[in-house]
Amino acid sequence: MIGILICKCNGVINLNDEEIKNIKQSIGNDVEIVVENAICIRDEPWDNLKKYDKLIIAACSPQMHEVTFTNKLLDRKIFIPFMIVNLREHAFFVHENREKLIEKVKAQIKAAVEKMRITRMKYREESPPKNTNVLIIGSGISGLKVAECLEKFGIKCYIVEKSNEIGGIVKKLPNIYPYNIPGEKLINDILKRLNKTEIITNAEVVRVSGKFGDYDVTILRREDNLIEIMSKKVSCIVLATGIEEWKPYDIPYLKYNGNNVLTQLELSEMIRNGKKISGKKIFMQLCVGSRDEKHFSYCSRICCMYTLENAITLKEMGNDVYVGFMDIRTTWKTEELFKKARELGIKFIRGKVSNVYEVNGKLKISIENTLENVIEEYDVDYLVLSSALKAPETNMILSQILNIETDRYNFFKKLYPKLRGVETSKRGIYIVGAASEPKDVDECIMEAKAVAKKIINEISKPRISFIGRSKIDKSLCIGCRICYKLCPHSAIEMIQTEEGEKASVLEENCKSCGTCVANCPTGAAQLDGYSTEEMLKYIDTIVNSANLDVKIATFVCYECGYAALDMIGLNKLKYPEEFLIIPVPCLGRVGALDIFKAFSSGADGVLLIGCLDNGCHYIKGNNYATLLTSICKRILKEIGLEEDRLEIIKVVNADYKRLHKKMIDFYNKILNIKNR
Amino acid sequence: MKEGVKLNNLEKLFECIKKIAKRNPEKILLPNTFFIFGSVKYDESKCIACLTCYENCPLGAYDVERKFDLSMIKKIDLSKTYWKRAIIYQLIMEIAVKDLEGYVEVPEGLPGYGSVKHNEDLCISCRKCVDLCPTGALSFECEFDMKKIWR
Ligand code: SF4
Ligand code: SF4
Ligand code: SF4
Ligand code: SF4
Repeated sequence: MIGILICKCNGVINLNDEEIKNIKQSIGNDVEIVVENAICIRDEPWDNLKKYDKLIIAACSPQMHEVTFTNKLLDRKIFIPFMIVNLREHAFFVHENREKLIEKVKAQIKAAVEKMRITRMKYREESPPKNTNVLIIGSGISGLKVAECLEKFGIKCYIVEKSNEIGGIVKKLPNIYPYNIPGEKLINDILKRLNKTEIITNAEVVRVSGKFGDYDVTILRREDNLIEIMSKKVSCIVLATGIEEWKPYDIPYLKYNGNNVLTQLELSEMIRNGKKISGKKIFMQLCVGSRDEKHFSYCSRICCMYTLENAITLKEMGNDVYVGFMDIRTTWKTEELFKKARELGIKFIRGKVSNVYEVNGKLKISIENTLENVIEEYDVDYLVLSSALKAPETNMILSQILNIETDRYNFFKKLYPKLRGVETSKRGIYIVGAASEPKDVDECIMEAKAVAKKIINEISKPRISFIGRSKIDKSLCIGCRICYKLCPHSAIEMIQTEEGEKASVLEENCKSCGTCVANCPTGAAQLDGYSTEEMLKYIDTIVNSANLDVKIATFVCYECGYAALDMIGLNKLKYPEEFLIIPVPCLGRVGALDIFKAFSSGADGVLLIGCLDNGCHYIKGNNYATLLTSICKRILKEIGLEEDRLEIIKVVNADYKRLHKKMIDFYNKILNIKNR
Repeated sequence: MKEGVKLNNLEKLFECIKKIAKRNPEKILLPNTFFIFGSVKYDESKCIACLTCYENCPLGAYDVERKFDLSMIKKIDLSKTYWKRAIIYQLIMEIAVKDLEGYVEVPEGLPGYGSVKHNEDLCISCRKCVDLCPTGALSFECEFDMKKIWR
């Protein structure tokens, strides 16, 4: 039997007996409704739910209490599938017309019941991988720190380093602020603490196959003229590929030669190796290649700091030091470096070196001082260029090997910048430190800890879910590859069978977004809880059972879309009852079939609410939905319906007021169309 | 259509569209393409009859045309085709004593000669053939064939 647990939420959800009877009548006698109060903090309501085989919790937003409710059930060993109907943020907080409100509540609950009747959702535990080894690509500060953190939990790491030297850029820096120790010492200290980790230098990853928990990695190692091929099995891969200093040959007038015109890190290397420089005149130029549309439009973020370090060191060695700058970006406490540099008498000139000549073996530079609007010339011994920090070329190859996206500068893309900054589109593949953008030492260490924690979580606990992962019915699959091409997480592979090519899901990598389900032409790809059958049933029921004059089928993704809708509720903004909510994991789950089904069931309008462009929590789902919306609008128009009946709104939760306004606008549009 | 193919979701979609339609256009020009929405265009002059599309189409939407259209030779831009093929065509044109027209029968089991025929009616625009075609003879266009819906 299906149980419906309605929470009064301290009087917010104030359905009276009459209304509850009415709801029950419309659903049927085979369900039981229990009304309780404050189910989030009380225990009693949860104690006698064992008798149901499916449960509907009609209460507040799952964003608020899904975890609470799940734990309440699991603590009591009640492993039944359940669904949360949000009566608070999506109904009682936002609607004023009692009669219509009850109609909406009825429709929302009834749709949930009808879906639950046919659902194949069930409690599942995916056991954690047996192999816990981790592969780290890059032996800079970030990579080493990840290994150090993981070792504490007994995890064996392999670090693959492409050069012959361990330690990356940090090792080259003579002094790391604010620790005031040489980078080399920082690196060596970590190395001393590593026991089990195996570091493979002069090596590259050349092939990766498999899935989370079971990646198969081929490594190629060069030693003199020998090539060794190794293979490692690991559960996770960490991209700690870091940054490299750009060699500014592409700005010819700077005459970069690595001798008297050299880069800042080349100078660092000289200082680190103990080269004594004194009595010289040294000009340092910041932002070489950085913040320059022709080369790298971004700020490289950490060059100001190590430039100032070097400037101070050289000044203290008794040199005359000048720094050419566009802006000095010393954030947080590194401002002290700038203060110290000025106190020491280092001269700062705002502008960029525009020409470099050599006269009788002496360097002469000209620079336009943009504060005083004069061209100044200097005779110098060294010109030091704080050249841009860029992603290594090898990122491109790695992105192909791993099937992971990079941005236009070749840095690896984070899964979701705000909340999932160390994850990538593929489960079990993480990014740390400067692999995603230039970062300072502190930030790298912090991220390394975050990655280690994430990995430990993933490989030590089972993954629990009710909807499970996408499944493909091989007898229906025609091998058209649509799902394979669309899956944002590369969780589908095509395999050869006796009946021809078929799709197959790598369950460990599937994140249950439902994109494959929405777009499979045959119905072979299905996801329990969001299968074609369940969705169509839900859509049909919600549109049909609401006795409202206007009906708007509102597909909302469980990420930003849902959160923004919740914010409207929490801020008690009002909107018409006619918006009937159809939650989906991601807008990628909304296919043309779902949109047209809503219309054919009698919806007057269809609205899709999801994350901002580039803000999709499943990477591409909202792109797909945007494309589909534009296509479906055209079809609507051509078959004689108004294209304005369909719309997609992309929001971030903080921008809920804009969503609210757009919803009201949409409602008015639909009213206009209806009354035409 | 190939045996055993059931396009459950697509059929349901067509039913829904049918139910709400007030007009039945034959073709719709789309603002962009997205898998089932779009159509495949075949350019015979680029085709080398490797039969990759024929062998891989899940719907069996391709037929093999065991005929080689001689007039194609004149239409092909030889500078853009494969060099070996260009030489063969060049030679044929040089030694031909009459205008190149008509068809040459191609025996079975000899891929590389002939052409294919694409049946729009069966096609679900999954793009598999477009992706696999080695010569770029197939492309995907912003057009949606609605005839299959009204059928
Ligand atoms: S989209 Fe459907 S039919 Fe096509 S390959 Fe994937 S599962 Fe098979
Ligand atoms: S549900 Fe999403 S992640 Fe899983 S296989 Fe389908 S498209 Fe890929
Ligand atoms: S269309 Fe392309 S894949 Fe098909 S036979 Fe011609 S060249 Fe081969
Ligand atoms: S698009 Fe797909 S269905 Fe159409 S012809 Fe190509 S492979 Fe066949």
